[in-house]
Amino acid sequence: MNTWHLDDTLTQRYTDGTVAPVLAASVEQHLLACADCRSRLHVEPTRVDAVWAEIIERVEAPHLGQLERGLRRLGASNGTARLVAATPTLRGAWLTGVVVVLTLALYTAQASPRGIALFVTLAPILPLIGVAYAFGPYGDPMHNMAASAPYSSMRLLALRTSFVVASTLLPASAAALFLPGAEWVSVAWLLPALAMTTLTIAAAGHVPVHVSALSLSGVWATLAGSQIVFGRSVYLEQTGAIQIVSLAILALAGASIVTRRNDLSEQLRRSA
Amino acid sequence: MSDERTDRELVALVADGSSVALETLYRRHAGWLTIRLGRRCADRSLVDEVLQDTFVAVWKGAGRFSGKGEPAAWLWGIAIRRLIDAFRRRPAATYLIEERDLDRVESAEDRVLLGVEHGDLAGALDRLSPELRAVVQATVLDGLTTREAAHLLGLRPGTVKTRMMRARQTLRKELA
Repeated sequence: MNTWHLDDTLTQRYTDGTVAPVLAASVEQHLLACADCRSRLHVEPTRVDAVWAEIIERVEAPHLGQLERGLRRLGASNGTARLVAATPTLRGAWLTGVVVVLTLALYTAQASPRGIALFVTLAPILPLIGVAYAFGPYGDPMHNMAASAPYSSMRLLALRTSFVVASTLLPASAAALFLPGAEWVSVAWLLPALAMTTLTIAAAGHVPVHVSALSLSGVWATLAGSQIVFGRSVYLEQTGAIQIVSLAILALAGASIVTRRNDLSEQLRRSA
Repeated sequence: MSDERTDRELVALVADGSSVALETLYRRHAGWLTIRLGRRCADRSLVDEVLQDTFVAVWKGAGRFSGKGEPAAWLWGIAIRRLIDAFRRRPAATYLIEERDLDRVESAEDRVLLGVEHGDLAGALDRLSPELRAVVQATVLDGLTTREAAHLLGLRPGTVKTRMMRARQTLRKELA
C-alpha cells in the first residue's frame, strides 16, 4: 500500500511554497487521494470563516441573483435591491402567467368584438392582482422582513409597486398593439389601470392592499366586462367620462400619497 | 470537526440542498485548496474569490458529480477552472511560474524520494527552461487542456503545443 505521506517538514515547506516544483507536483497528486495528508494543511481560521460568510450569502439568495446585481449596479443600496428583487411578481412564474393570459386574450380578440372586451377587461386587472399578490401576506416571503426593514415602508411600497406595474403594463401595452379595430381601445385602459393601482396604494394605510385591489378589479370587470355578458359595455360607451374620472382619481390619490407619506409609512408598519 | 460522513455522502447531501453539508465539505477542504491555489496565484484576495466561486459552483452543481472518482479531485477540477475564469476576467493576475526554485539545491531527502518515484524525471524537469516547465506544469500536472493552459499562461494555443513538443523532446533526450 501507499506509505508515502507528508511529514511535518514537507507539510510546512509545501504550505510556505518553498518546495521544488516536481516534489510539489508529487505532493499535490498525493493530496487528491489522501484525506489524512489533506487535513494536515491549514490556513488561518479567520480567512476560512471570511470566505464561508461570502459563500453562504450567495447560496442563500440564489434566485434573485441577476436582477439584484443589476439593481445594485444601477445604484440601489444592497437592502433596497434585495427587497425589490424579492417582490414575488418579479419571479418567472408570475411573468409567465401574465404572458399566457395576454396571449389568450389577444387570440380571442382576433376572433370577435367580445374578445376585445375581454382583453380590455383583463389588461388593467393584471397590475392590480400583481400588487395584491406582491403585498398581501400570501405571496410575499419577505413580508416580515419588509415590515421590519429599517426604512420607510412607503418608499419600499412605491418602489416595488413601480416594478410590479411596469412588469404588467409593459407587456400588456405591447400586446395591445396587436388588437384589431379601433386604436383608442388599445390605449384607453392605461389611465384607469394607473388610477386603480395608485388608489390601492393611497388607501394602503386603511384598507389591506389585497382587499382594495380585488374590490377595484371587481368594479372594473363590471364596467368593462359587461359587454361580454350583456352585449353593452359601459366602458365602450362612456370612454370619455371614464378617462376623466380616472385622471381625477390618479391626481387625488397621487397627491394624497405624496402629502401623507410619513403617516402612511407608520400605518403600514403597524398593520404589517 | 469530527464529522464522520465521507466526502461522497456530503456531496450527495449538498445535491439535496443541505447547506450544513456544504459547510462541512467546505471546512474540510478549504485548507489544501487555498494553499494549492495559492501556489498558482500570488494574489490572496483572488484566491479567496476563486475558493468562494468554487463552493458556490459546488452548491449549484453537486447533482452533476458522477460518484466515480475522488470528490477531492472533482473539487480541484472545479477550483482550477474557476481560477482560469478569474484570470480571464482580470488579465493583470498571472499564473505563478516557479522560477525561484530553479537554483535551489534540493535536500538529499527530496532526491531520494523523487528518485524512487520518478527515476531521473525530477532532475530533467527541473532543468527545463521556465517557459517549457510552465507548460508542462499546466498541461501534465494540472491536467488542463491546451486551450485552458493557453488562457492561463497568456499564450496562443499553437505556442502551448509547440512548447509542449519541445519539452517532450528535451525530456526524452535526457531520459534516454
